[in-house]
Formats: sequence, structure tokens, C-alpha cells
Amino acid sequence: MKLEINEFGTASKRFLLNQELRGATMRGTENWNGKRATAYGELDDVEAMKQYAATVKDHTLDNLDHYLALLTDNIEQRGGHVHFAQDAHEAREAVLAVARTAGARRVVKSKSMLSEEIELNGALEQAGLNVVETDLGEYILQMEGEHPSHIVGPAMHKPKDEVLRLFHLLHEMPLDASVDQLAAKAREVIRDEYLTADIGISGTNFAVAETGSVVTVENEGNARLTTSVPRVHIALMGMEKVIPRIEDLGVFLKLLPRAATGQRSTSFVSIITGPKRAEEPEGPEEFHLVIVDNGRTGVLADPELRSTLRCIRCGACLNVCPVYQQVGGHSYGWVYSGPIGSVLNPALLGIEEAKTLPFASSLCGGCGEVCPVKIPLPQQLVTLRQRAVSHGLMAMGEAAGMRGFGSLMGHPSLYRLANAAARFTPKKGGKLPRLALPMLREWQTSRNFPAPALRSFHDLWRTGLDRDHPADEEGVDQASNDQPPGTVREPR
Amino acid sequence: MKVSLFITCVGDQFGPSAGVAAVRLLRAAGCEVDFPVGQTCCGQPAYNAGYHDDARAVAKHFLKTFERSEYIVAPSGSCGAMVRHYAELFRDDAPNLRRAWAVADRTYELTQFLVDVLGVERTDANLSGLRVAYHDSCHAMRNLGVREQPRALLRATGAELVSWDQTCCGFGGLFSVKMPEISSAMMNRKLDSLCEAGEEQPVDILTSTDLGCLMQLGGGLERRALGPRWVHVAELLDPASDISWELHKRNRARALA
Repeated sequence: MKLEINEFGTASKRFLLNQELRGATMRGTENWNGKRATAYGELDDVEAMKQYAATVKDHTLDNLDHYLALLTDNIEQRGGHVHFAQDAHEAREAVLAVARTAGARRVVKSKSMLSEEIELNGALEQAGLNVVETDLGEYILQMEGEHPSHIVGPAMHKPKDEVLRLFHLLHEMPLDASVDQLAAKAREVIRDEYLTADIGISGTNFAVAETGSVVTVENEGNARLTTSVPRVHIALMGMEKVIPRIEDLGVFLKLLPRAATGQRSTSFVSIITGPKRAEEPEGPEEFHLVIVDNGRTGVLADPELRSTLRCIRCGACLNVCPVYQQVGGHSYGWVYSGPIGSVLNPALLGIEEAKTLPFASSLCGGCGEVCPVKIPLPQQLVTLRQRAVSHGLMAMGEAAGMRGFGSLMGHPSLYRLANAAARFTPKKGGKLPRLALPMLREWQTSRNFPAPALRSFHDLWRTGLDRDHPADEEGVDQASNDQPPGTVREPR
Repeated sequence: MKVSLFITCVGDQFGPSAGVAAVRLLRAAGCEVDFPVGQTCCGQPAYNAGYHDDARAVAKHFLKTFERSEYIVAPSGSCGAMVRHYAELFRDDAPNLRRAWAVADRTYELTQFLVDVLGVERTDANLSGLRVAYHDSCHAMRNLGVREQPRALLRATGAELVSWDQTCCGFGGLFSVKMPEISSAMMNRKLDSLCEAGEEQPVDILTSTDLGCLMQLGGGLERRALGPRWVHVAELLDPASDISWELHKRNRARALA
């Protein structure tokens, strides 16, 4: 995936102009926001549950080497194979090597953001393999040559009309087909692919160290088919996805669907432990797990950003983010979008590669509030802003301006001077005239900016408000019926 | 009870009337109000923009100014919440960290202080018949837990609170200047919802605990031909503010007619 992260400004402006994409994104996110609120509300003590999940994740991250070794041992004991990949290149090579050995020609894939991260599809196709995405949203995007715009709903930005046009062109479906009809058609087309595929590639929502299992959580049943029908199953997993025990899985299976889509449970949860056993009638003959680092060790060693690795990819922070809702996922320029993307992308790639993203937030705090594993996203956004500043990545004028701000607000004598000067600001009917201050030009294209008050509060306090009796307040005619006591408001 | 008012730089320059109303509300509730005249700003613009050295300079000045105050009350949730972030600025500086914690523990948003500390249930303002759109400042709501306090005080005036979009106004300090298109889109989403809420019966007033949000939403509202007036919640709750006075006169005229 081409890196266009620092193009956030242009990409987001382009998206803002497209009412159709914006509308689809707003409807999709608001739908899930409503459902999440209800589903969270059904839990007895959602905060305690989130805290438990965060604690499990932190414990695992603190002992990651141990749990990854345990996971590997248990998978190998079951006859599976584990491959460690330090970066995207090694991860692609690991998958390609398995495919070569298996003599594979056809691949089916279920949803995996990690496969986007390591740019797997392109590499498979280049090696002459036929790849079919089996998640409906991913299938649509593959046909359109697009990337996911949302962790959970990859085609979140797609208006229904566009999907109808696509299915009309590809499968001669009527242009007024219902969503169910489209899904049925997709199922029919993709079903054949499972039967002819040599390899099924899946993501991993969780990996249980003590049992050597990988877990997929989904609604379409496509991940179950991908992981069970083809002869070879390759699961991709970010190294932070491991949890210690099967009994820890429960809390995550309660939180993930609720946070993601507001469901109490998804339609399918598959717990896969190694390849087909001798006594089992079906299942893949080979099982491979590719555990990918790709920058995660660096995040693990970063005390301020480490908790980002708790993320279970529910997408709740995207849905709730009022910025994401307006600009969609593609504006963020890389695999992960929304608040988690604004932290994870610079954490994985380096702040230089993604210096704009931490600023793509009003710091409203919605992300931190809904996160099922309590990642302090707003705080991390500020941390990354601070790093962008200390790496000298900001415009020169801004740094000078901030030094000026620091001096002004750190010295009451300077503040008093500025206060006096502000009283001479030109004004027009209570608001600042256009173009009075160049830095406010952009603000004033859509909003008025108020002019400073005739007298500041400091001035008012000095001239009477400091006394404890309102009657003493200066300039107020208590007898007048038209003036409230203590008027200071200017006419607008 | 002795209370120090922290007017905030935005309040000082753009909303002194909210400060005046805050002083009157606090006095009416029996507080002795003082105003440390050396006060400037909480440092939030520099903190949020990532300039933490500059933010620390301002924070140190704030600590010096308010250290001896029994309670610090601001007509702003965002600036009040910033004082709670001081601990992050001074985490490697133990003496200042202790000072920061001590000051943060005594800092409140105005309606939070009135309701939670003073136990105020109602003010003397009478806003019966008025339809009010209350906007939650994100920082007041999420960082200070201010949600029900202003609503309870507004309801006690007889005002009717209308339901409308609950998301961020899009101000976000420098965010509104750095990413003006996104900020405006967020604002317009709110204003569209406000207009919708007023379709059957007009909304009279837009209010909030925070002037930052109100400058954003109010500034956008003024560009639309119709819409409610906007005013800080302190002025709505203070019976002596000009807005309350106007409404009082309007109700009286209606009664006479």
C-alpha cells in the first residue's frame, strides 16, 4: 500500500467534497455507534470488564517472549508450523514459501488487516497465484481495486449504488437488487472458490498460548470456510495478538463484538488448533502460523505508546471519532485509520512518516472512552504531537508563535500589555472584521470570530467587581429598567 | 468558603460577562470570591499542540498564581481539565508534580463546583418557557465528568432542554485553525442538528460550559440567517445577567399582553 500518510490534508479535503462517500461513512459509523452503546449498556460493569481485558493484554505484553514461545510449542506439538517474520518482506516470503512447497495455484483469503499491512495480495499475484477475497466487503474492494477504509467494515465508504453498479457489471444483477440478493450472489460466486483453492489465508483475532489455538471472529462464515476447506491453512498474526489462557478468551469474545458492531456475539467464532487430526474427517492437512513483528518490537519498547499493542481491532474508535466520520479511512493514507491509526501508523512507521496524523483530532476524547481495552488514545495523540515538535517537524512560524505564547502567558506584565493592546482591535458589530488576522483567515471562511470585549474581565475586576456588593459595580444605573445590573455585554 | 476565579484567557478577552455572572453565582451561593490578578492562561494551546516546554512555563506560572487558593473555579471545563494534565507535564519533576496534584485537586468547572461542592440545586434565574440546547464540552464531560450538573441547574430554571447531536463541536483549539475544513464540517453537522431540533418549535438559546465551543458554534450560527442566540451557561443561570433580564422582560410583556 502506497504511503500517503502525510497527504492527510489534501486527501481529507477531497473526501469532504464527496457527499456520497461522506454520507455512507456517516451512516455506517452512526449505525454501529448506536448499537455499541446499547450492547455495552447490557453488561453489568463494562468498565471492570475493559479493565480486565487491558490487564490481560498488559500482562501478555510484559511476558511476550514467554507466551509466544508457549504458543509456538503447543502449535508444533499439534503438528502445525510457526514462522516468525521480522518485517513485511519476511512475512510475504514466509507465505510464498509455503505456497511454493504446496504447489499452490489458487488462494482464498478471509479478512486480515495484517495482510494489508504486509501488502500480501500484490506479492501473491506477482508469484502467479490467483487470490480471492471472501469477505463480502473485501471482495467488493478487490473487484474495485481499492483498499479497506475501516478495520471492521472495509467497504464502509461505499455507497450502495456503487456496489449495485459493480454487481450489475460483474454478475448481471439487476440495478435494484436488495442487499440480501447481493450477498446471496456473492456467496454463490465465492463458494466455488473455496472448493478449488489450495490455500486458505486468514487473519487472527486472538491466539491462545496454553492451547496453541488461533481464533477468528466473524459474521459471514467465510473465515470458517477459508480455514477449513482448502488443503493448507495459513494464519497471519501480529505478535501482540497472543493471550495466555483459553479462559481469558471469554472477556474478549464479550467485548470485541459489542465494541465493533454492537453484537452480543458474532455469528461465527472459530477456535482452530493445529491441522486436521487423524480421527477428524475433514480440515486442512497443513497449518501454518506467521507471526509478524513489522515494527511492533519498537512499540513494545516505547513506554508511552506500548499500550497501543492492546488493540483488538474493533474499530470502535473509528466509529465514534467525529473526524473519521467526516474524512473516512482512506484520508489516513495507510492501513490503519481513525484514532488508532493516528497513533499506530506513526508508532509502527516512525513519526517522520506520519507527522500529520496525530494532529487529525480535536482531542474530544471519544476514542479513549469507547476503547474496550482502555488504550489512552487522546493522551498518545498529544505525546506524538510533542514528538513531532521535538523532532523539528513543524512549520518554523508555529514554533516561534508558541514560544511567544509561552512568554506572554508566563509573564503577567506582558499579558497586561497585550490586554491593553487587544482593546484597540478593529471590530464590526461585535465580531472581528475579515482578514484582521491572517491566521484566522481560514477560520473566518465558515465562522465569525468574535472581537475582544470592550473591557476584559481583568479591567472589570479592577474597576468595581472586586467588591462584594453588586450595587457597587461601576457604571450601572440600578434604577434603569432597561439595563440589567452589571451589564458588560456588548450589543451583537 | 473562599473561591478564586480563574477567568481563562478566552473568558477574559471574549467573554468577560460570563466571568461576571460566575462571580455573582458564586457570591449568591455564599462564597467569598477573589481574583488573583497575576493570572493569564492554563497553557492548553501549547500543550495540545505538542509544545510542552512552553506549556510548562505557563503551567508553572499558573501554579504560582493559584497555589494558595482554597478552591479554583473556572467558567470552562476544558481549562479546568488542563490543570489536571499538569501532572503529565511535571512527571519528571517531583516538587512541581506535588504542587500540580495539589492544585488539580482543588480546581473545578463552575457548574461542577456549584452542584458537587456547594450543593446548589437551583439559581434564581427564571427561564420558564425557554427552549435551550445544551452542548457538552468534550473536556468538561469526559475529563471532569460534567454532564448532569449544568443540565440540572438549567432544568431548575424552568427551561426545556432540547435533544440534539451530542458530538464534538469541532473547535479543538488550534485544530480549528490547522484543519479548518474538517473543523467546519464537524461544526456544520452540529448546526444542522440544531436547526432540525428547532423545526417544529424554535430553539431559543444555545449554551455550554465552555466559551471555546461557543465561539465555534456561535460563530457558525451567526453565518446562518436564523438560529438561536448563544450564551455561556453562567449567564443563563445568573438572574442579573442581561440575557436573563431580557428574557424576564419578554415574559413580563407576554403576561401583560
